[in-house]
Amino acid sequence: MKKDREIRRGKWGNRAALALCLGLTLGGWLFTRQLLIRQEEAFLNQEYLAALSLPGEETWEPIPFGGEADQQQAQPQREAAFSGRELDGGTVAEILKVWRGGGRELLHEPAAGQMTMEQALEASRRWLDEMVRQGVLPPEAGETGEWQYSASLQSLDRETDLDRELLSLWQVTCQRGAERIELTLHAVSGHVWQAQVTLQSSWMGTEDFDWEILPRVFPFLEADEGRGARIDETVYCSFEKGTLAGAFQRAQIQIDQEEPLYRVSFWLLPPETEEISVRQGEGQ
Amino acid sequence: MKLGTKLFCCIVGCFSLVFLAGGYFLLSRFYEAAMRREIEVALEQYQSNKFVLQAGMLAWGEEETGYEREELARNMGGTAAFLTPGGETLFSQFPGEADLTDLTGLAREGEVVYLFRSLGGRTYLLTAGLVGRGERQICLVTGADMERVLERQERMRALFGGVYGTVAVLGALLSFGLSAWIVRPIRQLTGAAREMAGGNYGERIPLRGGDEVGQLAEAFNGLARAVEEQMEALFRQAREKEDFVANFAHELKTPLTSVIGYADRIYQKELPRPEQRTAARYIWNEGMRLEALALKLTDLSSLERGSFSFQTLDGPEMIRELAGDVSYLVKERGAALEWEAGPGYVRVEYDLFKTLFYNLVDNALKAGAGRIRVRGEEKQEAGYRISLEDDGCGIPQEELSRIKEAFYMVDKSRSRRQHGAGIGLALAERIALLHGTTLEFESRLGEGTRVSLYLDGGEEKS
Repeated sequence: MKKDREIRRGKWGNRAALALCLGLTLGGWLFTRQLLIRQEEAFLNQEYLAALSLPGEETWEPIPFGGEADQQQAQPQREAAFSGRELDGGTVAEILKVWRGGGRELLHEPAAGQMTMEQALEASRRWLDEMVRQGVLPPEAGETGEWQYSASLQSLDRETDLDRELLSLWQVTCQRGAERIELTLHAVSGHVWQAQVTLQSSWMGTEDFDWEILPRVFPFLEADEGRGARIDETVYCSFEKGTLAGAFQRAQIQIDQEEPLYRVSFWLLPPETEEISVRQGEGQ
Repeated sequence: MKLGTKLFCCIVGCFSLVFLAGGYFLLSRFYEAAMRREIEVALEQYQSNKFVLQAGMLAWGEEETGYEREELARNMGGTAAFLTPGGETLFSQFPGEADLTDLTGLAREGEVVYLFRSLGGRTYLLTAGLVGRGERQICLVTGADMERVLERQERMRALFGGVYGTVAVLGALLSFGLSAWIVRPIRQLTGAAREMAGGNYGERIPLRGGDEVGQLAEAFNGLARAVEEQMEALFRQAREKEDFVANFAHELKTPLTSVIGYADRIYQKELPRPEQRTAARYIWNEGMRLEALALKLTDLSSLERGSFSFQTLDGPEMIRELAGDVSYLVKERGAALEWEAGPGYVRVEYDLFKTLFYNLVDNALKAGAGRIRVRGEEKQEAGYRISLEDDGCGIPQEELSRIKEAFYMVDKSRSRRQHGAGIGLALAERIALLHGTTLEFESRLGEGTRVSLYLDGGEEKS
């Protein structure tokens, strides 16, 4: 009888153990699932604050849910007058090298010392007017009231020895139908470093320019005397004692049966790039 | 609880724990990373939309139309809404009666607040901030539909559950097989133990592998072997005891039959004196035999119970003493005993060894020996050899293997005439075994017999 009792107890023990095992297996899954759902709910129920400043300087703060948010509206900030900071050729070349190296481009708010959007648009208009006055661009480019403007401030998410704010560039786009002007302004210096103007004006296609046009496009740089060249369809000029180079290119764009568009491009580049080799005295 | 069940539950339990913990860790990290990525994208989109709005506000001037707002919103990414800082909705692409006014309280210029909210049955990641130009400020709210992300998360959870369930079932089956495989040799062991308990001592377990179970099986086999040998020895002893008792009863019955017969005859009849003497002589003879039997049995019995103290003696000296002790017996039978012994020491229990020696001499005399020669010599590794050689009638070869059995007599009639009971050599052999040796017999019928034994030597006399 004692043995029978032991046998029965053993059987019930087995069943209990198996039931417990099954319960743990199923219950464990349900518990895990519930944990995951709760994690999701906790994440979704929070409110967060982020300051979209320069890349690498973002701050992320969770706001207590339903807690004491600052109800006082922020006072509108007065835009400080932008004076711009002049950069030497070497620094400009360094910045250009970083951008040419590529990386993740990030939009951000202007930081201290950088121009705002309004200032960037204003600087763009002034540049266009100046280029028209210098005879670099046709008068159509200066009719700034007719353009539709858009702008964005970008920087690169890369480690560099340069000050973070020096990497930021304003991309300003002026659109008028098929015509388009894209300018790249350095956010700290306020200068135009790159321009691509696409117009229907045939003036763009007839005027002949040599490398001496580039000092007029980039008046903030000191051109090296007699140091210019034409390679294929691109004209180059040396600046700041060879620390920088400027380039100019012209092209005609034909899309189906529409009126042709004429594009001129101006840009700065560091002199070590493979595409050029500027030889002193080898002008056009 | 059975071991197999314990193993199964442990394996399945541990597996579930590890799998669920690992799965939770992976899924939660994946979820966080996915949401972080969505937030980064949403913030980038907000910034892009903010630039669009800022450019638009610069172009609008003091007041803009609804069309202009709509036109602007079309150039934005995601779903957008414009509100005044006071919470009035200027324009909204959000579904239904989405109430976003509370966001204006959180929004600040230069910063963006983001949160998740359910609007029109869908979950949105809303980003909000103030965009200003001069005195004019607009609260820009941008929304990214998160339903796809949340659905993907739910699918991941379901997939994980499915994978877990499948793996759990497969794992359970594997665990079941594994635990059965591990427990099988233990079951075999149990079966073998039960067989042994039932009397089958020859049961063994096949050895597989050198792990703990294999070692247990090997140990069990060793145990079974020892038990089997022990049981065989016990059976043998029991048989021997039975034989002994049977022989003893027979040896007892035979003389008693004669004693009773002759005594009855004396009692019943008036016998003439010569017949009385004959009857009395038979009774006396059998009585002497019974007495000899009793004495030998007493000696045998003492061997069973006794604790013995051995001593190291000088071999020649001991032989000399033994020869002297039996000299009267030899002379009485009209025989002669010679001895010679080489140097050496022996380790003996002297009284027992004397009994052994006496029985060998007695046996030789009963075999009709006229001369008995005792020799002792050191034999290197084998020990000290003592041999006793007689010129008696000898023992047939086919009898040699049985002469050490209790009550066995080659010539029963001759032995009984000399009051022999057939126990002398059995007793001598038992004593020899106690000394770690055995009696070795060589004999030729009609020529004589030689019996030898080897004793352990000692280095010095104790």
